[in-house]
Amino acid sequence: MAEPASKIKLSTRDLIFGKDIDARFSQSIGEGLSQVRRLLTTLEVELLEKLEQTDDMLSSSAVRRRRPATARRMQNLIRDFACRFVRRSLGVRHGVTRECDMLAEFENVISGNTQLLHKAVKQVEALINDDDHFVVVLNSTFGEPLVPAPRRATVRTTKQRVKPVDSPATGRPAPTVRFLSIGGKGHPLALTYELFRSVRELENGMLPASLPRPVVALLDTTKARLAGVVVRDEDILDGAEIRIGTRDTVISRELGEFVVLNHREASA
Amino acid sequence: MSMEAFKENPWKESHPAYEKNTFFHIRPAPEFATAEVVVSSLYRACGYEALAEKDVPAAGREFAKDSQAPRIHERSGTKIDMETWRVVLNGVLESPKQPNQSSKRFLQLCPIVPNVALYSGSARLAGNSWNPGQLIQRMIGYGSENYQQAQTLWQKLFQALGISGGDDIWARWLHQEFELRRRNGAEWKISYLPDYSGLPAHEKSRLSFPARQFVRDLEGVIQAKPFMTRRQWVSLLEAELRLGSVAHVLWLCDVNYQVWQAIRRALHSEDCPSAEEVGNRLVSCTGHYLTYGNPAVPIIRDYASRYLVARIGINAVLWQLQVMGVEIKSIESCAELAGLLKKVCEKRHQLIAAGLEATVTELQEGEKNARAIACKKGIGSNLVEFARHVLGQRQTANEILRGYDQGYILRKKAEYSSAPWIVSMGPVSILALVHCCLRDAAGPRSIQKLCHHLAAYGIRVDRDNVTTGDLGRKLRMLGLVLDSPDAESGMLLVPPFDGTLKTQSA
Repeated sequence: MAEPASKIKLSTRDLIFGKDIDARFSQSIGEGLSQVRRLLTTLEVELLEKLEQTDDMLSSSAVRRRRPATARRMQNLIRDFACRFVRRSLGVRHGVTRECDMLAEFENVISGNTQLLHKAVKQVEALINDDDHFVVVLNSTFGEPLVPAPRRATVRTTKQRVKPVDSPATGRPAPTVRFLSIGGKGHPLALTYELFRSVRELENGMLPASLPRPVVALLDTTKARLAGVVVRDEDILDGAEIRIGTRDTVISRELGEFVVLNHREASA
Repeated sequence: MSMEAFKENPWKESHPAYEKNTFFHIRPAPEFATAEVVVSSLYRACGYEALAEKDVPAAGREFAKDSQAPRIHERSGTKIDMETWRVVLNGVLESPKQPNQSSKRFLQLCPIVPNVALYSGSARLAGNSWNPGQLIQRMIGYGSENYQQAQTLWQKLFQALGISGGDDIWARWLHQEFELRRRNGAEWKISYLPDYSGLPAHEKSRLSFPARQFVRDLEGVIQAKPFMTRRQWVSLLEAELRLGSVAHVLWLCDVNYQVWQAIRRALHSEDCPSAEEVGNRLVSCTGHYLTYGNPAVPIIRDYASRYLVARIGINAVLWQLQVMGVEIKSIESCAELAGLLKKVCEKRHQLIAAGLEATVTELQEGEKNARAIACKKGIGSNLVEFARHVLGQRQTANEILRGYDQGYILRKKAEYSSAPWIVSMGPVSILALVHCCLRDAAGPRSIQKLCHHLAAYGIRVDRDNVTTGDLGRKLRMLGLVLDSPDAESGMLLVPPFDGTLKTQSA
């Protein structure tokens, strides 16, 4: 179902689902119908008028007095049905669905809106990297939950850039999925709708811990794949830092050799 | 050793032909081991031949003591402080202990670099341990076409297990640190691979059995090494070794049982199978041992028990034939096995008259061997322990580390302690299998290929239930399948490390 804030643009005004349909139909079917009568088909109006009669009858004191609980339950049921029925009919006819704004934006990104794509790419970059570094946990494997910090060995390297992959569109239909290259190497990451939506929700203040599981799995495998390249590439490793547990010791790589900075030297 | 001695204790010693010259005798006899023990042991079998399994726990205790001594730490010339090194040993590298080991103090490390195998990862903490690495050695011999191919693979495995300049930075650093602290003289150099081919090359090419698939897949796992961190690769290798070794042992159990059934048929009828029939019907792995999603331990126990019954039967026949003056020297091929069946067929009246059947029934069903055959003690119990601990997910004493083992094949069905072990693969084993299964495929492959691949290891997966079941869910979670609701259950597999395919075709 579409969100209550979804709206349909009419020639004279905007019809907002929550305010104009949900609220009115919860008062009475007649009240709701008066708002949308001209937007529905004859058959639909006919059905709703019959429901309106039932609704009025259930409101009458004669029925109410005899079986109040049943009357109220029945009334709620038919009002709810009428409301859903109208929402569905209008939604289908005007292309208003759940997350329709987001879907439209996603379509824009796919069809080449660079502004929006740039925003999404930056967000994915922030998800892959930890602040200004790319961090690989050296002692955990695929699917393993993150070990507690005192048992973790990590390597921090420079930030891995995320860039959109330019797809050669000459002579073939435009691709339906955008791909992002990460760190310039390895497997490109598909910018799926689910990933795009998560990125937008993060922008709106969602915490990364609430990311849906498929997106977490996708990011995890991408990071794991990238890690294999990072831990072997001397260019990336130059200046990288290995940290062990919560100790202050930093093991660094300079000119192809290991350099250890213990606590005092590191703080000096 | 004679027939009488055999009747007295059928497990102590087998007939010389069965013991030394049979392709279906299980050697070395599997005992308890965990997946990490198999990997550590393989390191030793591959590169530290000089170090005996029984010396490992003592070396580990010594090493742990040294890591506490400031003077030894200084003398080693390391640049990191002692406290950090202790965190490496007791925190970062520590492999979680099982609930029954929680009070024991010993070094149990994740076998991420070869040096770790010098101090931890023996099957027992005291006394003589068996060497699971030798089982892998023999499996490589079994699965390869010829000795040369086995040697090439052994060489590749040695190189992949070692630490070279292009390896993971963490592995290189650990290797350097362990080398500074090493006190015993065991050097990392390739050990000799015994020439053990199991079956003759011309027969092997016609047969299918788990070791053949294992050898192909092992090569695939070695190829995938540059695409992940060392810890990830070691866990991938571990998953492959787990599945391969247990499938191999179960296959041998099954072959023993099939041979015994064939001998029983030969005792009662005239028609003897030809070498080809023997290969196809008795030796080839056509059925399945375990079913995905079903409890595994009762089935493993069943296979072990049938193996023991068969072992008594086959040995009794061999001893009885010897008493009758028919010497069987070896059963190292399907042709020789067919020859044995023919001899049994020819001598069946004498064998029956000598009371062979009564002897075997007494040995199999008598009170003396009942507990052994029921896998309550001895060989059978060891076999079940081996399969259950190698395949099963590591249970940890420390609750926080319960996700440590992800390369399992069996997991507990529920949280309670006596929950049954069911066949359900972990993410690492699924990744390993999907990678190996797509390695030699040129185009896209569907989920059916994965089912066939698992069947080669004797695991049956119901293709129709993959989409909705546990396997399908895990495949989707790992991003290993492309499926759409319109495609009528046509799930396509996605290669997890597609770089390996490119290098192969280049």
